[in-house]
Amino acid sequence: MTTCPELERVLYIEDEPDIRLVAEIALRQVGGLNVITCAGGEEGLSLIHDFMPQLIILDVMMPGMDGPQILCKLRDMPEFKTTPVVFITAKVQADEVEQFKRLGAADVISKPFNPMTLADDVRAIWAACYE
Amino acid sequence: MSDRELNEKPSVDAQLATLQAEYIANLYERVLPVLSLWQDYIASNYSPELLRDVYRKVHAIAGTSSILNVKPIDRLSNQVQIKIQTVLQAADIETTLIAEIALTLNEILDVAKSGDINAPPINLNT
Repeated sequence: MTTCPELERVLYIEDEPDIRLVAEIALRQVGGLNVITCAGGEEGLSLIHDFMPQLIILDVMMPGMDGPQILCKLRDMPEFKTTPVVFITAKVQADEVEQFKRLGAADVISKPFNPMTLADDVRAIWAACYE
Repeated sequence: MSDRELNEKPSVDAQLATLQAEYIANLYERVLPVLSLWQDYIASNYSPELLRDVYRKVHAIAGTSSILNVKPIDRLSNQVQIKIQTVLQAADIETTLIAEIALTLNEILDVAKSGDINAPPINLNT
């Protein structure tokens, strides 16, 4: 078992501006995390080396690059080959969760998420990656 | 963040309430292009690509509405998503289903236009 470092830096890529704002409130203000949110994959990938997120949250359905496509790009980058990626999507079915995990996601969070517990949920996924 | 900044910053509940109110206030402008895209879809003689565009836009509205607790729009847009998926998976165009989607999209527009929307507070502690 590897010791689990404290989760500090989270990148969240989501095309919906209102959801980004709620996520910032939930992760930064409620959860105390250092969060950068981006509107799309290109923007997220352009700043990822400066921010060096420990965990990345991806909306599944986005215009341009969708969540699974961004995950593929991340896995091609040596620095982010094993970075935990969490998909976030609406009304997720059990078989879809398994499908996303087969793609390499650490876990899936379904929308609507609870702003009060989102950071705890993310931290639990982070901790599970080190079990 | 300093104590002063913390004291001046609106509470999380207040910030979420503002986001919700602004979203509802701008909803009509947001729904209108979906209806326009739907008209394009009909005019195109049911182009699946245009229908997928409609789906993506409705999906975005559904997602934001669910997180911001805008329940009637969440419910109606989910209905539209399910029906669009059925159309996309069907071999033939079912005109009844197309009419139902149009009806529900118009209902969304009417609700958005009225501004009279049941949106409970985003209660963080429940």
